[in-house]
Amino acid sequence: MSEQGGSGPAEGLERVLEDLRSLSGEIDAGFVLSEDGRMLASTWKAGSEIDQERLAAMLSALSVLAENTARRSGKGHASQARVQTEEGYVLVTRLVGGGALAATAGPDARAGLLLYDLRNARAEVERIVGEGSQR
Amino acid sequence: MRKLLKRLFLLGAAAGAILALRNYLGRSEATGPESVQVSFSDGSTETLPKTSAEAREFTDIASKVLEASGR
Repeated sequence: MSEQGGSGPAEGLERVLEDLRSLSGEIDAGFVLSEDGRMLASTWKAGSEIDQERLAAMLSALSVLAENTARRSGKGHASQARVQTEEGYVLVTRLVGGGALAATAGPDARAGLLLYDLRNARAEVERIVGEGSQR
Repeated sequence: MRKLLKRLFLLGAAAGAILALRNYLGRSEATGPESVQVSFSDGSTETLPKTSAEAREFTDIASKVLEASGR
C-alpha cells in the first residue's frame, strides 16, 4: 500500500504520477515500487491493501524478469521493459537504486510515446525516492 | 465406382479439416498482439521471440497486472 500520511514522499510521488497521467491521457494507472518491491505510490485506488500488494508483487516480478534478461544477454541492467498483451500494455522503467516506475495502458495506446513520458518523469521520481530514503 | 468416390470425398474432407485446423492454430500462435521488448543500460534493445518461454512469462504476468488493475 502507498505510504500515505501528510507531505511525505508518497504524496510527492503520487503528484508526479497524477501529472504523468494528465500529460499522457492514455495511461490507465501509474505505480512506483521500492527496491525491495513495495508499492511506494500508485494512482490505482480501486483495490484493497491486499490488491495493491498483489499488484506490487507482479510488477516487481516483471522488473526481476527484465533484469534476468539483461543478465542472460550480458547487458548490465534492464533500463525498461515494454510488454504488450491482448488487454493492453504494461511498461516498467528501472529507477536508479533498483526501484521501478511502471504504468498500464490500453491496447490502442502509443507505447513509445508513453515510455518517453515515463523516462521524463523518472528523474523526478528518483529525486523524491532519494530524498525519502535520506530522511 | 460410387463407393470409391465416396471414400475420396471423405478423405478430401478430412484433409481439408486438418489443414484448416492447422492454419487456425498457427495463426493464433503467431499473430497475437503479444510482444516483449527489453531495453538495457547500454542503450540496446532486445525483442523476445513471441513463442519463447521467457516472453510467455512476461505476457502472463502483464495480463494478470492488467486484469488486477481493472482493465
